Amino acid sequence: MIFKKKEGENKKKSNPLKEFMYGFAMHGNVTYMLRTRMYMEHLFMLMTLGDMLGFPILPPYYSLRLLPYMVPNIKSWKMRMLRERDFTDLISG
Amino acid sequence: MTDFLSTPAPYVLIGLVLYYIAYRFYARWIDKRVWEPDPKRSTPATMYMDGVEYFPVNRYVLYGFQFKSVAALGPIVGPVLAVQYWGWLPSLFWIVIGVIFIGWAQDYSAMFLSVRNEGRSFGPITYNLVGKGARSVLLSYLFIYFWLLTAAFVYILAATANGFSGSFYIIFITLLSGVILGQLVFKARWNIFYATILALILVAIGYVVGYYVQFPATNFLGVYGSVMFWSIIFAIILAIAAIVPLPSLILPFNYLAFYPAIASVALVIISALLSPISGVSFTRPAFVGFTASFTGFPLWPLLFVTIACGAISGWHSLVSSGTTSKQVESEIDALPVGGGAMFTESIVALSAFAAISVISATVLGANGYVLGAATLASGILGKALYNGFVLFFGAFLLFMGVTVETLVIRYWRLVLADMVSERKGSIRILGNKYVATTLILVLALALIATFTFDYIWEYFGGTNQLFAAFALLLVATYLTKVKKPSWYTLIPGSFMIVTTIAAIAYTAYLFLSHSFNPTKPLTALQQLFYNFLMGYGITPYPIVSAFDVIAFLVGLSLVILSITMGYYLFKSILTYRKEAGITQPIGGKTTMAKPGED
Repeated sequence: MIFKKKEGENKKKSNPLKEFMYGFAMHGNVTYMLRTRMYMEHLFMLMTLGDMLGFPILPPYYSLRLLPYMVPNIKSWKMRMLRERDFTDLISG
Repeated sequence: MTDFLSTPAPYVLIGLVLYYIAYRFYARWIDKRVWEPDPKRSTPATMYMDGVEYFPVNRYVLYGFQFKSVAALGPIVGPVLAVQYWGWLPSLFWIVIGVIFIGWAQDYSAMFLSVRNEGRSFGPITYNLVGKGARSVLLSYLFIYFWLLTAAFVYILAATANGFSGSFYIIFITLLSGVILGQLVFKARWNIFYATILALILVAIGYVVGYYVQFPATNFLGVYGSVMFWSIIFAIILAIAAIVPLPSLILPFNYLAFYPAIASVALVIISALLSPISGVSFTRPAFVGFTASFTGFPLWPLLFVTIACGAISGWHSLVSSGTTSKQVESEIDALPVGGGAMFTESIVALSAFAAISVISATVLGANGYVLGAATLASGILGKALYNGFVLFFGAFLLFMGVTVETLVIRYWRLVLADMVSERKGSIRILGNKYVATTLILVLALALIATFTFDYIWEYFGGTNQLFAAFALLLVATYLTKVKKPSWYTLIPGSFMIVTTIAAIAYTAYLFLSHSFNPTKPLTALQQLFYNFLMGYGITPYPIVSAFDVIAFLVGLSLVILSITMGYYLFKSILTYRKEAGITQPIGGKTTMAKPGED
């Protein structure tokens, strides 16, 4: 298959066959793993930040201890939670 | 020269050359003229990057992923049936013309549509462009689609396991190897390389066991009893696979199945191209007639739904807009990923066309593919290997069927759970994973039990193609809205919607007319169902009539839903044209938006 070179493409040498094989055999699995981690992170975020949202799951002492570790994830968590979801999103190939 | 022309090689080669020309010129022309990809414009993957759903992925990786997601049993079974019905020439014609003018355009455009709409999937895009009613129709359609797909695929799995005694052990041992691989990688934290080697050794043992332990024999309970036996066995396997967590079984199994699957596809294509050397030539007629053998199906409209995947498939638009569009790194990747994967899938259809054309036997389901592929491969590598290749390709069909079907059942229960989650009352039980899984498999087994696979396949192909028509018309709606030329999706979309509604309506009519005269079975195979019931002293006619009426109502529902959806889509296109003040013929050259205007 012909692939056109992109403008400003990273000059790092790629191996198309290896990447195709990875995409065919593994990419779906990796995406699924990431999704599973995402759902677990959602639960963890809810536990940690629940107090501020009105769900006092953890005592504030532990929430505050964990807060520095959670802060970097807040932006993407918020984005994922607020994103509209539809039944067709469930069909992921 | 005559010998050369009577082998599949020149036709497969012509197909490949035409695909290259279509990709190189037509597809690129549409890409540049209509969608005007801009490598500097942010894609949803870069704009909304969250490292989970939205993140940029290398084009080759995404191309491999897209190809794996779209290629299953569809591009194999469709050509196998169509070549037997109408001959190899019309089948080849539709595969090649279909993918060049319709198939790639749908996959690519659906992906680009999603990319230009913040990575949204088809549900929200339909809601935004066409309205709430159209989205509801889409949901209803999806349920029927999953049901028909499950019935068709479970039947093919059962027919294959029954037809090639021993093939079941290969898939069974591969499933066990998948479980072991999952435990080694995810629990014991083994290195994936060593775990893969061990699992592949187990798979190889599966092939050896399958070769030597050919038990139970083909048709050990008669054709009907054996196919139903294997259908139930596969229903149980699929139920377990669809319920247990993905890393426990399906993810490692899919990964293991990749190795024999890719080897099988490559082997058939190479063998077909080398067929002039091996001397394997066509044994089927180029053209049977405008009316199909065995079934009497008319060439139009039923050829265009019998071969769905490989020429065009609505499933692809769901995948293109579901995951892939959220991971496209740059807009210029949409063509190689979306269009390129579709052309590659069509090569699988060409391999199926080549395989079925070189055998003359008429066999159940997709078994003709197995025999043909074994004939082609053993022609090159040695006739002594024929029996081994039969098992190898039989297992390949089982791998493809199980990997896709487990995901389909999973989607069914997720969509069902999503639908009933906000409802009250006992209907919420449908959201339970055990209930939802059992429901679809029981419904599928009920369809299989009637032994009307040829007709069920037409329904399945029809729903699949209608999804494609919806996708094409949805793209045309969007392009009209943003004042871009839409003819390249509008014309194929209109053709597909008319053809597939006609195909479903015709199949529904056959069921209805048969309900008045059930004494003569629809197909020779259905006679086996009659015999089965009569063997237990049950008069089959009232049961068959009742099934015919149900099948007719399913067809009628599909036709009504399709006409409703078509009405919504064409109405939206006309509304957007009016808003934009477009006066040229529908789909023709419109005022081109300036870059960034849309």
